[in-house]
Amino acid sequence: MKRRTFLSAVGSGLVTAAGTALPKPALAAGSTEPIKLGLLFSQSGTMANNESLLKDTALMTIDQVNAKGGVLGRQVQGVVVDPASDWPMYAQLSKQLIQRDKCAALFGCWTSVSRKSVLPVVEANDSLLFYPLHFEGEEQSKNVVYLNSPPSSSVLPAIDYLMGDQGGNAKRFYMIGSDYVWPRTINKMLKGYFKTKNIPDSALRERYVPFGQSNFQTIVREIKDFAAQPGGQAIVVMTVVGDSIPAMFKEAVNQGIRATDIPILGLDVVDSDLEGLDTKPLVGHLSCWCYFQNVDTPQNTQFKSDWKNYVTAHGLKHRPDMVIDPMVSTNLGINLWAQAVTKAKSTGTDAVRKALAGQSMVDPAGYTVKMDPSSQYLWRGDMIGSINAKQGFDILWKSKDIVKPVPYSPFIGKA
Amino acid sequence: MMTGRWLFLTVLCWLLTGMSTSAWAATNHSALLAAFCATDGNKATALEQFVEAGVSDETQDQAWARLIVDAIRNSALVCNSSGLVTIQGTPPLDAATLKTAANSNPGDSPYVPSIVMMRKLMVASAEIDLFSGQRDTRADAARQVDKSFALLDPAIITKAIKRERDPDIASVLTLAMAKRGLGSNNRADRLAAIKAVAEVPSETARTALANFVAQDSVRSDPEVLAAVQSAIAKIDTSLSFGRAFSILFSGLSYAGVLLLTALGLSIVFGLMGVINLAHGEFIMIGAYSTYLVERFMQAHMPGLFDAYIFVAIPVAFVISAVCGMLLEFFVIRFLYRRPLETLLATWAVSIALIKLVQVLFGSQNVEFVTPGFLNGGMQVSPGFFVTYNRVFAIVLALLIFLATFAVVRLTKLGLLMRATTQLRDMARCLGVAAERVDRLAFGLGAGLAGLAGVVLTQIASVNPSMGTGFVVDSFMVVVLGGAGSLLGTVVSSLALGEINQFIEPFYGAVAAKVAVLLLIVLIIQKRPQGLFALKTRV
Amino acid sequence: MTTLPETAARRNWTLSAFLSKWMEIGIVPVLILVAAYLPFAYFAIPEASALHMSLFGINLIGQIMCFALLALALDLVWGYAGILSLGHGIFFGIGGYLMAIYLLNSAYAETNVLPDFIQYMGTGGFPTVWKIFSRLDVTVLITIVFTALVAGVFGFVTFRSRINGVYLSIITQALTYALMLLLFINDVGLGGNNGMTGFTNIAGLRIAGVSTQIGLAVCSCVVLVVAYVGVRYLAHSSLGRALIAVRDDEARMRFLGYRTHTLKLIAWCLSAVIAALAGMLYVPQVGIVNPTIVSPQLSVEIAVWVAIGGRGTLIGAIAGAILVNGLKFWLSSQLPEVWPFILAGVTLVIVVAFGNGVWGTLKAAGEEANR
Repeated sequence: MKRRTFLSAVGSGLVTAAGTALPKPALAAGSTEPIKLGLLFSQSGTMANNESLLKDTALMTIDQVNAKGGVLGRQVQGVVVDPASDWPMYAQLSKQLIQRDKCAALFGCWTSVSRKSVLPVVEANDSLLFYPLHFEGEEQSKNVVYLNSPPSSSVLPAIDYLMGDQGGNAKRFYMIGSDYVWPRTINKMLKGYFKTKNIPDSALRERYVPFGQSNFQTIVREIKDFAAQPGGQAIVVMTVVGDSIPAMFKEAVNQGIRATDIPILGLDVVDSDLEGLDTKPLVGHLSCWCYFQNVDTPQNTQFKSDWKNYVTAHGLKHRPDMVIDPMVSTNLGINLWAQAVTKAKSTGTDAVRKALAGQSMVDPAGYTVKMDPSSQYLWRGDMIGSINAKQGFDILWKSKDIVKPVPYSPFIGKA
Repeated sequence: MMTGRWLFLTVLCWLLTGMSTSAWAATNHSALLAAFCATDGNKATALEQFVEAGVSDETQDQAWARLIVDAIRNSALVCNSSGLVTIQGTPPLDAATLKTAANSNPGDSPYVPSIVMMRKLMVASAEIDLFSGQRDTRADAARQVDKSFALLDPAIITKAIKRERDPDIASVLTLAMAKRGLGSNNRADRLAAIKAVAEVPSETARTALANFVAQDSVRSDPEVLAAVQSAIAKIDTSLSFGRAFSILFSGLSYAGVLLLTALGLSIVFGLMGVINLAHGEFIMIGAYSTYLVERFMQAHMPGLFDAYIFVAIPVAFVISAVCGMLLEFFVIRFLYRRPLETLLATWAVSIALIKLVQVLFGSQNVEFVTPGFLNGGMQVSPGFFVTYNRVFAIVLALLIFLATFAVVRLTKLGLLMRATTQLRDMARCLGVAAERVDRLAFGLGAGLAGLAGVVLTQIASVNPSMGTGFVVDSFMVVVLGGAGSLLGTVVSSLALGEINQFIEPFYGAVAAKVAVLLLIVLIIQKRPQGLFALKTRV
Repeated sequence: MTTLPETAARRNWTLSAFLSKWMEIGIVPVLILVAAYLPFAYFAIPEASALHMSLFGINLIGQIMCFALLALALDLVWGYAGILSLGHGIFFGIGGYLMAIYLLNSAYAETNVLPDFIQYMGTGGFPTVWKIFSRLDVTVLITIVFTALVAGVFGFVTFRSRINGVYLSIITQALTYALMLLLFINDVGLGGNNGMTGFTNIAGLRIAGVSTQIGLAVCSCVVLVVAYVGVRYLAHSSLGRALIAVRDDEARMRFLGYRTHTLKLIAWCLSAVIAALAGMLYVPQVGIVNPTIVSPQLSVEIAVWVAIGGRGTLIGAIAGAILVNGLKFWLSSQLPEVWPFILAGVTLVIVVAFGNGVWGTLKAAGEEANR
């Protein structure tokens, strides 16, 4: 009599367990099983546009690694999941990738929110997350490899440029960001930095909008008001992300703002955000990354043509002629991981971590990037780009060599 | 014989001077370019030289300088390491001679102007344009010069004023020169400048005056000080009026969006008591229909591209209405008199629709190319700037509302709809095919949602889950206004739109939204039937 | 609608007859069995066996149990009192967030490191009011009281104004939407979009530890059992019958002299507390709480689970939640593209054709057979 309920209850339990109790792949020596890498990039939701590019770059790089014989004689396999731009889903899926799929390492996340959601999981399970985006710093976990720059290497040089003669002697700053950890931390650091440059509080304005905000009427009006106050040239430090970027640019253009009036430094703007926009009225606004696709090196030509062939061969929905910095970072991450595993002769986290220190390679921008021996940050070059009329960036300035990343900014406490 | 020889000598002299002038000119071009490209040279000074060439009397030089300045602005000037300067393009040109370049180094990248340089370039090309043959070019250039009066070269402007035969353009230029008086030490100049600047109040004018008054030399002079302060006060007054109008205008545009999204729901919910959680998805379907029309017209009728938004209106209406009627036929008609089940069923349909659109179109944002006439905006009065896309939204909302009102009040369908709502069984007794009326009414409601989607393509982001953000808001508008009352919908969307925009500048968009939601909930507690209750007898 | 137990009538031993009476009692030992099986399956059964449960699977079951508890809470007000609340996520969220505050306090006590959002907000430390959430038992108590209070205020104002049916549903949707928007703002001090994460221990036990996670899953099952027994007892008591009567015809009950709004209020507050308990159990198992827990979509989904399972039959709510979430977890990893269509299709079929849900239909068939 209780058979049916018993069966139904246990049945649904088994349904879930069935998916979970897969045979555990033997990572023991001599195995020919593929090494799995978890790819934690959203393919739906507000971050889908950008993150799906990274997923496909990762798959392309994995194909390249496999074509060279794989790692430790084994093929590498990318396990793709879709966290759907939902931060708790990132945590859930990272647990799944590590515990159920036994991935050797995870490559993923764009927003700092998603990284912070995954952080406790990789720390509790002692796995490695390779994070390809520039971010706010203030973090140095032994379970995360930081493939792109903290603010000291990217944001501050751009701010210095704008405060200098060539940039227009900016003296007033309007900071608008999406409401989460990255913009908040960046702005906190900037406020501390401005204090050291004797910029008064009245010359600063700080505003936050929720993710996905598309109505910037009031904000742009406020920017115009702010810029009209006396005290010097005003600029906008824009830390909104995702859909909000084209929305804000469109509103600024519609209300008559040009880069010659009020320059906008968009810290998260990539070429994919400019797609579909008429960028002629946006010419001159700035962004800063470790790579822009206009850089002219043989490595970059190779990388761009690899991507183009990959997109055409697989019939992907991406633009074959568009390459952005996070894609390059993802590529570097997988290659450096492969190098570390080969050196350590193991995929174990501890061994890989030790072998990663000091690993280096030449990146498409022509710099010889190298992994810091202790902080797990990657030393990259730095560039400032200016939006051009072709929905891309022209390189305004680039650093001569790779820059030392500073995980913990000295300016945070000064705010 | 004597005359012949003199003639010959004169012609020879002319020829020689001509040749050497042009040779000199060509050499001069190269020299100017070299000065510009020099790595530690002063690019600003070199730019000034270009401008000099541009405003000289030599038409050749004028055209050449114009081209060079344009090339620099477009990041197309390449200073090659070999010393050759080229302009990018197909084919690349030699910058000095403007002939096809022999061989341009692929390794060198074009000069990218900094922001400061961009400002100078803007003024430079405006100054060159002041000497163009076409009136419109000169008028635009004059306005540009006026806007950046602090950066202009007075010698060139004076020359341009002397040359200018059109009185309007000349007066603009004179005004710009007068504004420069702010920088002079002569008191009369300063007073004239203050007057000139205050004539056209704007944010930039206020900035200029505020920066001016901060100077010690101004503060020490009481007459000038008084003039500046009263000018600033005058500008402030007009600016605050402008700001108030801006808020009213944004409230109106927000209300327009609310009205559009809530109108269809008002009909469906009010007249038929059906809760449709898939309403947001009809909006989304309307937006994607617009996308399809845009793609189609871009491919097949590029000449009429700007009109795509007008073509999209009937297309989106029909597609959404058909989807609505299908929904009604397959799902809703089994669920009348069971509102809670309708709610869940329409929710199920909404998630399926979202996923379907995601699969078909991808989940990223769809970017729309704004039709030319909707780009930009207009400075109606100081401090009050309207963007055309929002004006369009407001106008369209009003027109759609009037059309809906007409349909409901004046057509047979509307009459049948109202009859079926007020006393369904009696209407059926009188021969009204209630099921068909329901279907058409539902179709109408869905079609209106589709129209909302068309308008939203210009002012909001379009992606498969865009509808979910509008459902709660539209329901609130309908419930507050009174289900079924079209007038109530208008009043409540106006009220909510304005309240939202009044709160937003102080507390931010999200807080404004939350406050409005809570306000509605409170009002509903007191008056559950809404502001304008429709009298029905069940 | 429960039939009075028949003493001497012939029993038709069809499957449906079993289901309608015995399952409702039978679910209790089944759940207890499942709760006992979990630690056994992890520790005692070897990994290679198909009956072994990985930590991941156990964690999943624990989460599903929390959802089942949430569905039970909704069924109490919807199935028995006729209040379709599309905002039960609010109470789930209250429980979740208060538990998260406690967990952050205990993490700070252990590691002395402030969570990120406190750091970048620059406030320097936790808000003083958070100090009261320093012990687990105190936290649970305060959550129960606070949730009952919030539910009480809302219920008092709403039921007195005689708001019900569709309007109530929409208002609850609006409130949960407003709460979600509010929680997205970092200035509110609850982590904003990031939410709260970085938990290290719960009542002294390491939160990521195997035994803690299994313990939490087992605890969720046990709480579900207790709640089910309690609510079922209530449903079969005179209060339950009064609620059913209110659901069926409130005006008549009012004319008969019952204070319907008080009855509804009691059911509402109880339901809210159960939902908050579900939230408190959910957050330590997921390891993060953020505003999506109070999203309007989740609140509607709860109603869908109850509808699919069969409202008004408590076991239907539990079965519906287990079924839908189990399927969702399984399918969204295998066939992520297909899951929304399947869910939509199942919901539509159940709602349109089987108004009483899976369980309700089975039960009705059983009663038919018994006649």
